Amino acid sequence: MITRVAGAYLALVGAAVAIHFLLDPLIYDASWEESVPPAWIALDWLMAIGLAIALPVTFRAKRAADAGSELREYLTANARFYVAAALALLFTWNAVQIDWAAGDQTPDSQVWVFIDVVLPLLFVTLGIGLWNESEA
Amino acid sequence: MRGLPDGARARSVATRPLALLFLLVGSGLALHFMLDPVLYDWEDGQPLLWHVFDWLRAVSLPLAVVVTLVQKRRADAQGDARARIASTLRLYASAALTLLFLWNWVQVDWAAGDQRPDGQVWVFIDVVLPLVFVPLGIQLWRDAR
Repeated sequence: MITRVAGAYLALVGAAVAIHFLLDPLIYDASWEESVPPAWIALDWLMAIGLAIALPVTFRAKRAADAGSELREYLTANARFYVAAALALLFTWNAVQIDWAAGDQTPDSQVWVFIDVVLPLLFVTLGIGLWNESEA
Repeated sequence: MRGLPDGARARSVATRPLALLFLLVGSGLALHFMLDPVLYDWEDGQPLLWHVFDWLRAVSLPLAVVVTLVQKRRADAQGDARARIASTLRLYASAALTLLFLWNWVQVDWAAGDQRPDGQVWVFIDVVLPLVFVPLGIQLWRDAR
């Protein structure tokens, strides 16, 4: 049950980030960077929770695949774990600069673009994988 | 290490400090990178702790290239596909990180002109280096046992 909920959560957050990223230039004008739209703030928190779920899930899968003999599973599990770890580092570094920077730093917009493109690819595939795993 | 032959014991003793170096630099860098925007306003130039990390990386990256090269050659000789993939990726990541780091680092204080280090190259290094160093350190530590 928990696996299914976690899978649904990751898939939904991943899809929501992807859709919102695509629509962002159509919805908001260029001055939005002065104050981040509430929908992005909400998605930031959802992404943070999603990353906190994705890291242990992918780490567990990596350890299982490392102990197994399947090469394909080994590659998939390792790729997912390292992508999740890299996203967690980048996301934390960028997100704390929205409101909590010590100086005048602001988040790096190219890092947001990277996160908004790669995170959905990880979350949606991982979420579907978890959902299918819970059905099996 | 009790019961190990002398050669294996010596190798184990040499491996552990390297493992610790990679683990500490990798995890310390990841933590410092995430906390950096909260800790520093960067108005007085590069903070002291970043200079310390720069020197630690300048020492540990060439060591990582040597260690991963040895691991790659060993894996190539054994023919295990997984070990070959992992060691090859680590070697090329270490080599690329070394090139990027040195290119960026010399621009902190020693540039011939007005060049400055590239901020996005720092971000790349600060994210990828821990992902190479921490697993490498864990593996070396286990090998030493």
